[in-house]
Amino acid sequence: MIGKGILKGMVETARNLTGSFHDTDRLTTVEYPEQKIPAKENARNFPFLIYDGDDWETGLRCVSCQICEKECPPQCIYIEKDKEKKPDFLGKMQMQPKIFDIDVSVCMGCQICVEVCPFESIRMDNDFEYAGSDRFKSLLLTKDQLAKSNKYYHSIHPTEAQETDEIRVQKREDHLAKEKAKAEKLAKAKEEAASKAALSKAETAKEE
Amino acid sequence: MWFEELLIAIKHYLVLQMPGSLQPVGSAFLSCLPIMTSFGGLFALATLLERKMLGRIQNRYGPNRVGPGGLLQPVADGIKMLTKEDIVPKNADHLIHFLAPLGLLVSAMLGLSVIPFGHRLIALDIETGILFFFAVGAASELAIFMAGWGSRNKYALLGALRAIAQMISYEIPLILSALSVLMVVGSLSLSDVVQAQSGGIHTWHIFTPWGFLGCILFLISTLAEINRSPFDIPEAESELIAGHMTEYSGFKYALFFMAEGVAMFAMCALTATLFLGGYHAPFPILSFIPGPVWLFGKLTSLVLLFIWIRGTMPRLRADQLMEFAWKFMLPMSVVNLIAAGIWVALDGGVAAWISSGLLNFVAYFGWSRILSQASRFSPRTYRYAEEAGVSE
Amino acid sequence: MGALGTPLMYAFRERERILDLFESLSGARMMCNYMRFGGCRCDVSADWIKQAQSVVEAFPQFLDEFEALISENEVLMARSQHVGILKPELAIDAGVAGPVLRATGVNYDLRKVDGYGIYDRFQFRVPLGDHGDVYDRYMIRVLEMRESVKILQQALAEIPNGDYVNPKAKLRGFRPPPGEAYGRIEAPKGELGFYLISDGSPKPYRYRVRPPSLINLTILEDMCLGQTIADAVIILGSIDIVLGEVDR
Repeated sequence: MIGKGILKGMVETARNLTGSFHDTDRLTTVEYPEQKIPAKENARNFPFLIYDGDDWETGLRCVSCQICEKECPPQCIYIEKDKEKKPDFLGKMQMQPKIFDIDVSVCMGCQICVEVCPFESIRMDNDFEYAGSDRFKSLLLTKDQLAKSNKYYHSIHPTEAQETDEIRVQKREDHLAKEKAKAEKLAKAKEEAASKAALSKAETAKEE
Repeated sequence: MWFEELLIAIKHYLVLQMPGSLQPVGSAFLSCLPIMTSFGGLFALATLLERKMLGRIQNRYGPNRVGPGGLLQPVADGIKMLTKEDIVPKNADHLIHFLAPLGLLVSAMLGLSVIPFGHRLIALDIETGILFFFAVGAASELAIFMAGWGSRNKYALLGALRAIAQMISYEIPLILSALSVLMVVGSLSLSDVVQAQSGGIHTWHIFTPWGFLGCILFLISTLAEINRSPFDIPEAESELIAGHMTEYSGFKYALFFMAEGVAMFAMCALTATLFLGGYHAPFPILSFIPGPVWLFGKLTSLVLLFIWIRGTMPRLRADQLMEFAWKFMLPMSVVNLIAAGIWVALDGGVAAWISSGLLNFVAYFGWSRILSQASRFSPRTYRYAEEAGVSE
Repeated sequence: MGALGTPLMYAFRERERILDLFESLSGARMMCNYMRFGGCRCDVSADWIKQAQSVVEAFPQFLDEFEALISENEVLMARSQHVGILKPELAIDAGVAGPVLRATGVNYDLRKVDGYGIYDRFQFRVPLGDHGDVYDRYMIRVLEMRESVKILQQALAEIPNGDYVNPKAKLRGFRPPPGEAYGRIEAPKGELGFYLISDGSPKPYRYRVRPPSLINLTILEDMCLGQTIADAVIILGSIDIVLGEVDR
């Protein structure tokens, strides 16, 4: 009989029509610029560079090892090394990037750069409101735009940032222990050398 | 009645203020002015209502940015349309291209002139009101063809031909189903049709077997006649370009939509007049509320029904649309005419109810069964593959 | 085909719920990047499993609603039945896979044929069509969604505790031995296969994806022959192509 299926569909749309007035499950729209859904903790969008302390230029963790540049599947990262070195958080002299660009119009947010970074430098941001009047320039983020503080990282991904900090504390401890061991070794060697020297001095004195 | 009398008195007063030679023209002008202004404004509101309601049907908000709750959206749309460039193709027939949207709008507006909005509240009270209505309605086909022809664009021409084929096909069941009412009332005048339903809700034509089927057939034909979903083949926006409106832009394009909207109001008003008691209240107690209010209420509910249908139905294919018109609508409206004839012959009453109701019922179910078998579509059940290859 | 996308909007509503789950687990809605060699990238929380269960449980209701809206609609049936018929022989010859193939009545589901992953542990049925037309392809997809809900329910009940990734698995930089390999899965659109030739270095010597959409699209012409132009739109829609994949 013609019309039964149509009537069934009409009942369904009527249910949705009335449902959208009282049922938030049906009316799922969020009116974006005024209301926003709080970002989920895991949410990620594009990468950014972390810096420690207050000055982004001296605190930048990146040492321009270029691993992320090589691993990036759509190749949206461009790095150029700087000739000048600067000390990192362990006090070692490290390279630093002169240019670090990410083309967010190419980036697909796969997080591979984050996983391969051995210096905990590049992490995922959850900011999605990139809009520009220019097709190329405003979506090509440069080093100063990418650099964001560790505090900001803590504010967007608290658990992950905590883990990252722990890794770095561990690294520092390891480094300190290493340094200590090295220093002890050095001191020991010095002592030995000194005692040897003293010994040989004594020997020569004896001979005379 | 008081409201209608008041309006008529105001009009007579204003006409009498005019110099004698101008009085006939002035009277006509004063009759037209309220219709044209109110339906123009109503059309703007209807577009907003349509978008809002479709949004709600689809679990969206609909337009709510311009003005409080989106109320100024039609104004914004109008400004946008007015400020757009009006492009006329170089080789187009400029005069016809220009006249087509006007002709469509005028024919839609003229249809409203014979609708009785209240007691004695009718712009053009002629004996053959309904004939006039369908005659000017047919002029809209001419306007659509002018649009297709004048554009000098093959897609526009093909779209116009499709639109005309559809409108002419559906005009037959439209008129035949209206004819059942005229048979029973025995007059072509719409005032008489309304007067025949003045006794309250039980005298409305929709609550008779022939009126019920006639009303449904009339509404379906109306949908096709004003190119609304599911019969919006002429401008199937997701499948075709805009049919006969391909070469129109700016305010001429808006005029097409306005004509469509006004035609929808005219058709809904005619449906309300023919089947839903026109400007009469459903219960005589409620007749202190003015007639125009009732008519507009009925009209609005019909418009809402159209929007509801639009939100539910997929679109038919052009050949299926024709098939539906000629194989289903036409036979059913003829059967309905016979049922109305039985009603007249038996002069109402229980016997007429049973016989004409039975006729319509049997015809509808039998014919729809035969048709759906002939067109080979039906709900299906599906089998499942099992590991051993045994179907369930 | 009209209706101003009402069914589409309802489907979007449910899709958002699923994408929200993806986002809260892996961080991204589409580009999840969650699978790893030997496990997953991060652990799921008990809370997430609860959310997933509620979404999976609510899904059949949505399917009922969706089917009430259009499955028996006469207009839809008139438009899609006996339109764009695909013969099983042609489908097999053209290498079509997935719902499009099963709608022609060929019992071929890689989850059953290969039994890869842990699909042999789940109870589910494979719906088959009899006509191979547009309506069959639509209904097969709806029925498969119902079966998928069953699979998900079984899978969510059986998620084991323990490591989420094999600690011994090497995540990157491996050197597969020289040779070739072909892996395939049953993707929503059909058979998704990856063919690799290795020469022993970390980078593959040759690498090819067997895209389901591209191969399903090749039969569009055969299905459209003898149909009207208005039907071409819904036939194309019924193959359910992703143009990004076709245009690779």
